[in-house]
Formats: sequence, structure tokens, C-alpha cells
Amino acid sequence: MFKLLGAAFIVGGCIAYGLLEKARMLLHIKQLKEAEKLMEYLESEITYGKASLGAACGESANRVEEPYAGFLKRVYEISMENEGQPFGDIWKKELLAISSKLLLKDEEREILSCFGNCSGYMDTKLQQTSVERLLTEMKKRTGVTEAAYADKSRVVFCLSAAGGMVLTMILI
Amino acid sequence: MAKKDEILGLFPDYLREMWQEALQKVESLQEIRLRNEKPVLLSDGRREWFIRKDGRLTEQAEGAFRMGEKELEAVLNHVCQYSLYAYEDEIRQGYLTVPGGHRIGLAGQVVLEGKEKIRTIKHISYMNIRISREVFGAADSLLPFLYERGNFRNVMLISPPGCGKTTVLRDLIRQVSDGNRYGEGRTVGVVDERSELAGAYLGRAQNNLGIRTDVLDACPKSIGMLLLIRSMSPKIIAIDELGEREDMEAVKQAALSGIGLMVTVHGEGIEDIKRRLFLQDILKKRLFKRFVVLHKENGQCRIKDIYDEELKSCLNY
Repeated sequence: MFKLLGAAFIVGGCIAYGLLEKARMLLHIKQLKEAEKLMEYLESEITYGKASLGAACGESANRVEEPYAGFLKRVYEISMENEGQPFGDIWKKELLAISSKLLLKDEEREILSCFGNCSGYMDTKLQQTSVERLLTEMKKRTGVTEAAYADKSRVVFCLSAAGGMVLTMILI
Repeated sequence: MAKKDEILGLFPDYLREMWQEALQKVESLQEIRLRNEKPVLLSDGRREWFIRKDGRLTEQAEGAFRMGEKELEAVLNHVCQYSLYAYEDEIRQGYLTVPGGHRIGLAGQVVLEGKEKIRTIKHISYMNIRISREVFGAADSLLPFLYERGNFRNVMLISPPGCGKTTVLRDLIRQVSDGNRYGEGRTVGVVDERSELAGAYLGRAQNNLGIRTDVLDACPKSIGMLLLIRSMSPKIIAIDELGEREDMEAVKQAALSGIGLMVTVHGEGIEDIKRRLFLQDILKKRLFKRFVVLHKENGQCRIKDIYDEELKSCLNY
């Protein structure tokens, strides 16, 4: 009886781990999409409102979800404090500060981080193009991740369930 | 924010230590000149100083701090909040207005669009930081001449550059707007094409122009006057540096609508004004009741003379 209960716990635990992993994958996709949204808002503030990068962050902060909302708010606040730091430095430093909350992969973080380097263009069109390039990259990453999600989640679920059963057999 | 902090805020962090030291020593700073590979110059209108790398001021150019291309670029980027595109129009016009109402004149290589229109200025190698100063009371001595039984008389301030026209006009706007011992407060509309009067930053006036003043920033004068008349119903319109034929048409239209006027014009004196073709019609129609000529005496800006609508002197100094 106890063995059966233990086996159920092990298999259940492994499946739960698989489901957790699946949820993380979903959250990863959500964060990628939110990052896209963030870039789209910034682009629109830059091109339509001709807002400075700092001000664009402030305007966009309320339209995106956490952890990006807090991140943009901090970038805006520090930019407005005018302590003399370049925008790129503020952007990168604050991005690093929320890195523990981000499920993005290194390449995806790099794309987001690159936005900080998109400063100093005298031409709005050029500024827009540079943001658009990053947005395209981000969309590509989201597309790839989303396409792989169905297969990956199935594999993770099956592996976790199978792993639980194997572990049970070994222990019994 | 103190003026010195506003000036300090124009520089990126790695240059601030040097400037902090220097700014503490100059009381009434008027100008900072930054030129590529040339010594940085500070001026209070009467004296000039160079700045050393440690922030100490010197009157010798030798050993003075010279700003390189990278430093100038860093200052420009910082002033524009690392968003040069957002200041495209201002750069095209050759100046930026920064918090506190200070202005930074820019010069470098001009890129033309067609034959006459400036597309942008690139390789900016010269900057002139002009510190905005509000002189409260600068228009005090004018006020008795500008009211007749509580009614405001249209006034034109005339002087060569650097004699304080804008400073006097700014104070006049404030006093007319708030109200003074000669007349009650009136709604004043300011068309501030070059952001000099209000020193507006992000659309907000940085200088005190009074409680009944509406400012249309960075708008061409002729368009702005008509726009203000339609939208804000001002009792008086203030304009700095009239100079084009279209401006005159708008001025005439405003005056004929019964709106009061406070304007400034570049000129050596009343004779100079009489010779100006674009002003002939205005003089003939007697749209202005007072002409105030300003000049500089011992480095101080003073009223030289005040004329009535018949161009007769109202006082003898």
C-alpha cells in the first residue's frame, strides 16, 4: 500500500515538474511577446511623439506588464534625475537588475540590451530603423520559440512522466 | 533648482567635477563657449576666464582645458538626452533650449536641403551656452509710459543685439500679466518662436511670465499670433524680434482686432526704424503708441529714449 502511495507521489511529482517546466516555457513566450510590445510602444513614442528615449520609457511603462513595467519606470526616473549617465548605461544596468525575473535566453537579452545602444541618431527615420531592426529580431525569436513550444512541451511532459515511472521502478 | 545645478546638469558625469569647481567661482555667468580643440571660455559679460582641467579658472589660455570632438559630442548627446532625433528641429535652427530656459547655440557643418533650407547641422564643433537671466523689475521704469488711465498702450522695444530687449520684454510680460500699479492684470499671449522669452522646455515655461500668460513655444510668429487670437483670446500679444513681412501682416491683423501689442525689433534707434521698409506701414497706421529705445552704457542696459506715436520724445535723459 505504502509502495503504491510512494510510486504515485514520485510519478505525480515528476509530472508536476514537467507541468512546471511547461508553464515556464509559456511564461518565456509571454515575456518575449511583452518585450516585442515594449519595443513597439517605444518605437511609436519615438516616431510619433518624438519623445526622448527616457521620456519614451516613461510613457510606455504603464502599457506593459511586469517585470518590464518596473524596469521602464526605473529607466525613466533615472534619466530624469540627470545624474550624467548615458542612456545606454542606465538601460543596461536596469536590465541587469531585473535579469533574475527574466526567462529570456542570452541572445534574447542581448537584443533587448541593444536598445540602449540605439541612441545618438540625429535622424528620426534612422532611429526608427534601428529600433525596427531589433523588433524584427525579437519577433523572429518569438516565432521560433512559439513554433517549438508544442513539440517541446510534449517532450517535457512525456519525459517527466516516463522519468517518474523509471524512478519508481528503480526504487521498487 | 539653482542656476549652477542647471548648468552642471548640461554636462555628462565625467566632466561634472571640473565644472562644479568652476561654476562655484563665477557669480553672474553669462556665457560658456565650447569650441573644438580650443580653450573653454567663460564670460560674465565684462570679464572672460578659461578653465583648467582641475576646475580652476585662469585668465591665461595656455594650459587651459580644451574640449575635443568626443567631449563635444558627449555634451551634445547629454543635452539632447541621448535622443538627438527628438531635437532635430532645434538643431536645424541652430539652438537648443534646456531646462532652466538656458540656450545652447550650435555651429558646425550645415547640410542644405535644396538651396536655402537647412536640413541639419552635423559635426557640431562650436557651442555657446547662454545662461538665461530673469531680471525682475527690468521694465519698472517703462510702466508709467505704457498705460493711459489703466489702458495698455502698444509698445515697440528697439535696440541693437545685447542691449536687453528680451530681458525687458520678459519682465514687461510678467508685470502686465500679473498686474501692476498702473493697470490690472491682463491675459497675455506669447509667441515664442526661438524659446527665448519663456525658455520653454517640453512646452513648459521655465521663466516667470506671469499668472495670466499663455505661451506658444517654437511657433513661427505670423502663424502663432493668429493661432493665439483664435484659441486663447489674449488681451495683449508679445513677440520678440519682429523682422519679416509676414509678421507685420499678423501684427496689423492683431492690432486691428483690438489686441494690445508688445514687440521688440533690432535697430540702432528711432531713425533706423523709420528707414525700415517693412515697418513703414505700421508707423503710418500708428499701431504703436510707444517706442522705447534701449542702449548699453558702461556695460549696463539702459533706456535711451521713449517716443510717442508721432515719434516725438516723451522724455529727456
